[in-house]
Amino acid sequence: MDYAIEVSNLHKSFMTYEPKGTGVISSLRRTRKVKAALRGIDMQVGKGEIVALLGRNGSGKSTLIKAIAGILYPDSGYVKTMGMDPWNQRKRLAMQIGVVFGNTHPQLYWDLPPIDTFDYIKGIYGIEDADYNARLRYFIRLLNLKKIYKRQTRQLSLGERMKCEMVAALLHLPPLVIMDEPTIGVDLPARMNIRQVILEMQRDYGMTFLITTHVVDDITNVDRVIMLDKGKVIFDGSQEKMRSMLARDVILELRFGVDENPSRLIRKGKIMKFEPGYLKAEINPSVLKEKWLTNLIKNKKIIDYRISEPNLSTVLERFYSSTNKGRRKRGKNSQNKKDGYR
Amino acid sequence: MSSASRKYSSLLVIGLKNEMAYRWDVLISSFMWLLYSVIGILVWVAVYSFSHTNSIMGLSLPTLIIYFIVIGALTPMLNWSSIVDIMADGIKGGSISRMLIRPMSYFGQLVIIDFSGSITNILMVSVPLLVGMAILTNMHVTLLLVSLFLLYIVIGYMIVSFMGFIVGSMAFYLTDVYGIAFSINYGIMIIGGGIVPLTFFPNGIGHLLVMLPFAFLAFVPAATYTGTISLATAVGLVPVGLAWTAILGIVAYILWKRMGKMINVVGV
Ligand SMILES: Nc1ncnc2c1ncn2[C@@H]1O[C@H](COP(=O)(O)OP(=O)(O)OP(=O)(O)O)[C@@H](O)[C@H]1O
Ligand SMILES: [Mg+2]
Repeated sequence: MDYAIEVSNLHKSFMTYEPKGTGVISSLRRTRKVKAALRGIDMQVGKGEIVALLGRNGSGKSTLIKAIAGILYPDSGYVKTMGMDPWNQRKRLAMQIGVVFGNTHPQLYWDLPPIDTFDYIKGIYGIEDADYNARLRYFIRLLNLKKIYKRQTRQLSLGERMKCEMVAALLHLPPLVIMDEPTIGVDLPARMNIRQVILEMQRDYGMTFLITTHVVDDITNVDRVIMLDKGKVIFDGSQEKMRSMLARDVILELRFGVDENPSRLIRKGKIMKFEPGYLKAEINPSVLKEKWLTNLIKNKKIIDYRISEPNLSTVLERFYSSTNKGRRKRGKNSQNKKDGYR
Repeated sequence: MSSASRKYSSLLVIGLKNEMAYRWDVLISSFMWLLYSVIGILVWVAVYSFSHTNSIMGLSLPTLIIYFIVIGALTPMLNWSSIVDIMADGIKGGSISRMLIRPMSYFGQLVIIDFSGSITNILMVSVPLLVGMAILTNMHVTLLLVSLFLLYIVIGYMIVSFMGFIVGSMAFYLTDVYGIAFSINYGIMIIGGGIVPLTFFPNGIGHLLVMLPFAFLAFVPAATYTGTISLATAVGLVPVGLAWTAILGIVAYILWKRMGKMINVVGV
């Protein structure tokens, strides 16, 4: 397979300083700590794929993205982006990638309208007039920028700015687009349009996307999900695989006329919600075939029933709570070993 | 147009647009530079009239006035603190990532951004001062003199950019270098001949200072233009200036190769 991004055994630590005390003098004395942000990352992104990079705050997503984009020098390991060494071939690589770095490192010039930044991008990447105008029209229509793109950037709302940041990253149709929280502050309809833009660019130009996000519905259309935790890849696969790993259980909902004791109705599984006339439980799919359940569903008292898969946010919620447990457990161990950090 | 010049000229265009967004700031800063030069001249007028002389260390008051007008024209151009500023801001605030994702060299972008900030000052302060003075004093301007002067401005510009880059690289270690940059800047003005001509220094020291890179930011171009040093001496200093440019360029390059790896763009 032709890879757009190849990373193996990538490490990056940051030096951090913490004041020793809270007083003015004691805060001058600092302890040095090493914060390992990436601890042996292995991952690949194939050309033309849309991949979501997920993980809790501080799990290393942004650090990884910076190393891939060539703006952060890793301690050790291997990174190839579009077949290039991102650090030593940064300038050549820059022609081939488009980036959005959340809200904190905007590309748009703060005091100028977005259109000036777009013109600048046209210049640096040598976009032909006709192409430029056509693409601009496309983005303006799809992302609803007509009333926005000629106003000073600093007057725009967060979501309006992020949409323009997105345009700035895509105008030169880079084969690889890396976006760190591109949908921060963007409203639902605009997020849907952004998803459409991404899918159309993948379809029409074979563009590759690596996107981090904390917004669950952003990942509905991605081809693959990579999850980081404490600087390591802990999951890499399709959404179906993620569901089947983390959420094997299905959701059973029952509506019934008479009050019943739920524990009598459901013999296996976990009851999530019970109120008069309604019950919601999580059960293993194999239980669905068991006799007591088929009898229960046929029972006259049951007015209606529904079996469904847990939705994505339930899956993620479970994922995050599972990493949280691991964190607490490991935290205890490492305290014993007196190495709070590594 | 080659792709490199297309990229850098696009950067210059947006840099100028960005400057124009602050047109009042720009105007006020130009005015401050003018005022700065006028004050320098007034101080020397006062010194001469109090000491009741026509000439100090062989320099007459009119020559000295011309000297400081030229210095006044040079300082807005050969000023390095903006490169240091851009670098320090970028490293502290993380805006450096906006430059590193572009298919252009970091140093090249710094120089262009700095230059787009200087253009208004050059047009509103430097050019009027130099041309006005040449006309008023009925100066005998030869082609050789003008080209030598322009060459020195280019050399000075390169030296100042490399020095700014070297000091700015310290921002990787010390996140707030502006204070240092400012005091170094003042020291450089003194030993470069921006406050008193280097001919006023004791002979040995004066001769040594002329050979240092700082002299190329003030004394050498100004003394060349005003004829304080002979044309032969001025031509003889060209290789010295070029040598310093090369040395500082190499130092800046090595520093960048080492420091660049330490950038950790904060935030996001
Ligand atoms: N410049 C830095 N100096 C010191 N520590 C850093 C630096 N940048 C990141 N870190 C630390 O490295 C870890 C990973 O940070 P990173 O920004 O990659 O996380 P993230 O997954 O992007 O989180 P978020 O979802 O909050 O954006 C964090 O613990 C962070 O505190
Ligand atoms: Mg992040």
